[in-house]
Amino acid sequence: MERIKYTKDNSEIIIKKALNVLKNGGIFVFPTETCYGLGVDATNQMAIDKLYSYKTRREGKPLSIAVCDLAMASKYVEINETAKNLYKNYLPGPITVVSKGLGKVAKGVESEYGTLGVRIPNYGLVLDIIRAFGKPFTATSANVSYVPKPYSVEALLKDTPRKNQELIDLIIDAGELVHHETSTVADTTMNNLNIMRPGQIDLSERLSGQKSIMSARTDSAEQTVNFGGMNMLKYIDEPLDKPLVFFLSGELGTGKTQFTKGLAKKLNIEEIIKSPTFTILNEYKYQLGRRQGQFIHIDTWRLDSLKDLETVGFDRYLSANNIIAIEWADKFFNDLKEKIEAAGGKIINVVFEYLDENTRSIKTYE
Amino acid sequence: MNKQEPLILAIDTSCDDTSAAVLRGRCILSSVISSQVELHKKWGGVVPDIARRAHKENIGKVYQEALKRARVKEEELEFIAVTYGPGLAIALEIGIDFAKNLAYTQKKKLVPINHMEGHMLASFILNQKAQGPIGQNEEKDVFPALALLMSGNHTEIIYAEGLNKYEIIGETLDDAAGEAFDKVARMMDIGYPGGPILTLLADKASDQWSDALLGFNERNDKKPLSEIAGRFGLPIPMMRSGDLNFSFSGLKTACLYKIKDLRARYAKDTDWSYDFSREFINAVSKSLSFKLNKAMKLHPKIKSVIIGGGVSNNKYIVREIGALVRKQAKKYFIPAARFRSDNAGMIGIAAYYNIKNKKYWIEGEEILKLDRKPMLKL
Repeated sequence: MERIKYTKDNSEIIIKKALNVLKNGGIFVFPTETCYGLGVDATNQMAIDKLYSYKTRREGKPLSIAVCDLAMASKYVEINETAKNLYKNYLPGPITVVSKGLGKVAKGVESEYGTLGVRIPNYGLVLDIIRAFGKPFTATSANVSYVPKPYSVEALLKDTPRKNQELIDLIIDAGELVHHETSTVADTTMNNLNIMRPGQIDLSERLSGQKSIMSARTDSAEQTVNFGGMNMLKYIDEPLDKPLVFFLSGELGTGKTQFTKGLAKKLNIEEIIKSPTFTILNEYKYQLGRRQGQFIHIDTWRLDSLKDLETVGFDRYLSANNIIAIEWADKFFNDLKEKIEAAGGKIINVVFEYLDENTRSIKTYE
Repeated sequence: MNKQEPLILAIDTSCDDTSAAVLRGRCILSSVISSQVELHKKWGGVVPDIARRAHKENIGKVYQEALKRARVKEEELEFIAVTYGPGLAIALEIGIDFAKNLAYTQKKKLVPINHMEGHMLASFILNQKAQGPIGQNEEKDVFPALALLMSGNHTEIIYAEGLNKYEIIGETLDDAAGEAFDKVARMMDIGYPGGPILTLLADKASDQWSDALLGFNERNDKKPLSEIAGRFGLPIPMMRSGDLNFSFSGLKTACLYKIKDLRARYAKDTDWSYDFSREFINAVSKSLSFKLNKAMKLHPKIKSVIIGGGVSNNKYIVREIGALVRKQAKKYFIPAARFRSDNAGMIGIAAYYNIKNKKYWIEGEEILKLDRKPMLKL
């Protein structure tokens, strides 16, 4: 193991030494704007295996990689709108941007879900090494598992067993680093719905053959609740030998949950209807005269595919007398429609559009 | 550690994570969540790990790891505690089935626990040296208490006259506080989860972020200054509702409108996003502290305020609430960081008090009758 002091005017020598280690599949320790990091060539399988044996047991986070800019990042991960926004506005900086990986790194670097965390460290020397190397290296903290993050080389060596130390080829010592917390993880793999832009074009096309049976311009949350109630009233007396499903489509904050409150109110449900974003699915019992069933409130916002919806037990709710309201139904519109129609269910499409701060246009299609 | 105290295994599968913990009385011996035993770790996780498959695969591993780290053998366990609600039905079932099977076949006592009681009592957990936010001899200083529980799924104020005597006196009517963070972060296109990243941006806010009075405000003068959070005029929710309830959907909508407006007016997001993040957190924080203050006035005899849930990881919110509670000369308890978000340790501590005070558990054939209650209330 070689230890070299970074003095601001010896960066050329350091870069050369670091490149040498990286190219030979070795491990080096480098300073960042958070703690000391551990670098190996992220595309070299033997180097990654070596890193895993250094770390012994893996704690909390998966590995991440360090790149020098958006162009390099885009060779290894899919860059979507959110990722682009983060790179453009907030990097370099202490943020690990998680994107869908392209499978271009060694095995064990991407998570088992195929995602990969990317950092652009705000540390000139490190960026210079990446640029010179032309490829990403790992950006995990330099400590072995279950010991504190190292902010000085002394602390690192004190906490690292000799056997593990022997795996390190080079340490770039920049003295005691400022004790910033480790980087914040920003996962960008949430579906790419255009929530800030008019996103209804697609849906309007799909619904073009259908007739709009009700519509309203609402000026307050209360009016949206009432409009939900009016929608429920229309179907309340129909026989429900098959499930009745409301597809609620519209961007964040356009009143989907408020509308659902209105549906529930007309079903005499007294519990507070809260957003199901976190639990995915909330179930309520309703009773109207002699008819009783379940009212199911679903939010697909955090879900990836129809399969996720199936795994939360969606199919078991597709039965007679049940009334289901699905927020963000447009995410899996066709598959969901097919599934519900196969179960004989009736679908009511409700489309929410944002007009201005308080005004919404809500249209119901049968 | 007192060997006379019951040895409890606790399981929580109420939503995204599978977790297991072992406690000897109030002392935590181990606490494991599924992401710690996976071969390749996952990142934060937008798509929740709710899949029945994932929980089923994980629960055995998590259970074994919890025993191993606690250095306890299965036969030594006396009580099995499990969350039976509230939460996602299918996720709850996995934990309950596992716990029922273990308790029934191994002839152990089963303690069904309400997830929210777990969050409320998380501050009672002691570490292996028998230290914690509420020390060994401080139990008597806690009740009657108010609990403010805030997470991705819940925002509630509970009046707790004593252990097992709880009343929800305020709750959210729509979105939970943690959910508001995630959704506003989504509107700003800064990734998930929203809490940590909004806090990171808020740390860079200028001195003027709240300077609505110095003419540096961009608000529409619709609301009195006391009801807005800063220069962008974000509303502090539910100031005039008269009750102790919360609502974050109006704030969410106001953010949507404001972000559209700011993006149209400024060249780059960083021209406004630092101050905006700070103001948003302040609006949430002010709403929480306003209602808590109101609740404290209604219940002047309380000895302490307990907070819990993942949102209590937010330093700005904790600071504001802590200051409020201390000003009223009440005791203030917050769980250790790893027991704020969902975890099984808190289920174990709730079980401990159910066993000790209420002698509450089920045995034998009774075990098989336990069913999940997804919409369970305290």
